Amino acid sequence: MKKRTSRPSSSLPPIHARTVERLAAGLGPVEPAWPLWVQWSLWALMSLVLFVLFFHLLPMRGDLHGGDSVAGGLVLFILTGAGLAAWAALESSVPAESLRGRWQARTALFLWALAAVWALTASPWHWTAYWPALSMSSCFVAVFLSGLVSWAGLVFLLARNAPTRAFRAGLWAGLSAFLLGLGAVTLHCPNGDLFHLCMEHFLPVLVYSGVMAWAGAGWLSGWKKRSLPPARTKA
Amino acid sequence: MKPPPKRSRPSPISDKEQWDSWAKLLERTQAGDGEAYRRLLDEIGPLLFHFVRKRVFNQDLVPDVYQEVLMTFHKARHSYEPGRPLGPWLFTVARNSILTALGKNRRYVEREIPSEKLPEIIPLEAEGSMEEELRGALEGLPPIYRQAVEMLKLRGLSLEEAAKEIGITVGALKVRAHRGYGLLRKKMLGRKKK
Repeated sequence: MKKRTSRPSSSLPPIHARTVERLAAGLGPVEPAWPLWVQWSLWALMSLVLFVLFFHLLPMRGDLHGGDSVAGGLVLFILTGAGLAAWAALESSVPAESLRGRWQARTALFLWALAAVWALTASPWHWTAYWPALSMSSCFVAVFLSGLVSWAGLVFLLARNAPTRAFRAGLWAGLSAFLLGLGAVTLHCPNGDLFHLCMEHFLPVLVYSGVMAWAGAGWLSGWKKRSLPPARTKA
Repeated sequence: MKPPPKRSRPSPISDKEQWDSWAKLLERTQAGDGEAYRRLLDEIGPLLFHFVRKRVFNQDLVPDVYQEVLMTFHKARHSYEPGRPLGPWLFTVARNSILTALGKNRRYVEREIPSEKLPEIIPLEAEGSMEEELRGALEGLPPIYRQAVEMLKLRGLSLEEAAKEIGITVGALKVRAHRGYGLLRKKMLGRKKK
């Protein structure tokens, strides 16, 4: 065992020396956290690949072929919101950063709300017997499936850090991932019906964000459950 | 002319060189340098202990909460990004672990049993058949509960001594012992009914 060169302050309780010895005895090298911009770039790259994949899998809606600026702008807003929410998720997973950058979080929410309002006001007001025969099998599920891989990738990145508030980080991760899913579905689905947009495009983003934040909280809190060096027991 | 602001002693938080040196020690810690880690913990220890003492009203809990802070620091050490200011990172980790530790202790306190209400040491020598039954029931307990009961009731260690030997808090030991007594009682009653 190495000889101790420093001496703890006399004002510290006896438990200090014991804990330090215990922790230092089992110390191993760890990989420091990557800078946030590196993590975000990884997320952006992954999202780009996924988005291109969706683009190939799902045919683009007809009005976008004609260069509909409203729909195109809507998708752009949604994707910007996803990027900002991903940044907010990453920030909230690093202890020093979780106190900073509230503007990204607010901007993400603002953009999402703006996109929702824009979509609702731009769409025709059809009460076309949609309620209560709400179809829960198409876009509602597509948003989830389109966002799931992105969610897993982002939560993997977050879990490598040390999210002190796992639920909050998970909420942002869900918002980012399912906004990405919403963007993919918006490129594909031409239905401009108000209730369809509300119930099967925007509502799922909120529902899945909350559910997946709850489901992923254990994964994000994994760093707290890491094993510590064993305490020394008397012979 | 304005008088210079009163300042009794330089605040360690404002001492940039000090923080930079601690940040360097933490970087060496991330590389696995145990000596740098010991030095870092010894140097930031008073600061963290003061931070804990200011936020925990029940002074009996302060050492346990402080230990929890050190352990959380250990688990989160990888998340410090070299080159970034150490202070905000350190205090966020400390604040969070204080909240976690207080939450745990609140649960312990609710289930805490005063030492004077704990059952007396069972006189094993009194009755041979009872001793066998008791030993059998004790062996059937999950290891962590058996260890707590054995230390407190068979070896006669104090709560502090036993907690120190196992490496857990007194509150956690009380919970284990309490559960152990409950299970032991159930097992003994079950045997008697048979």
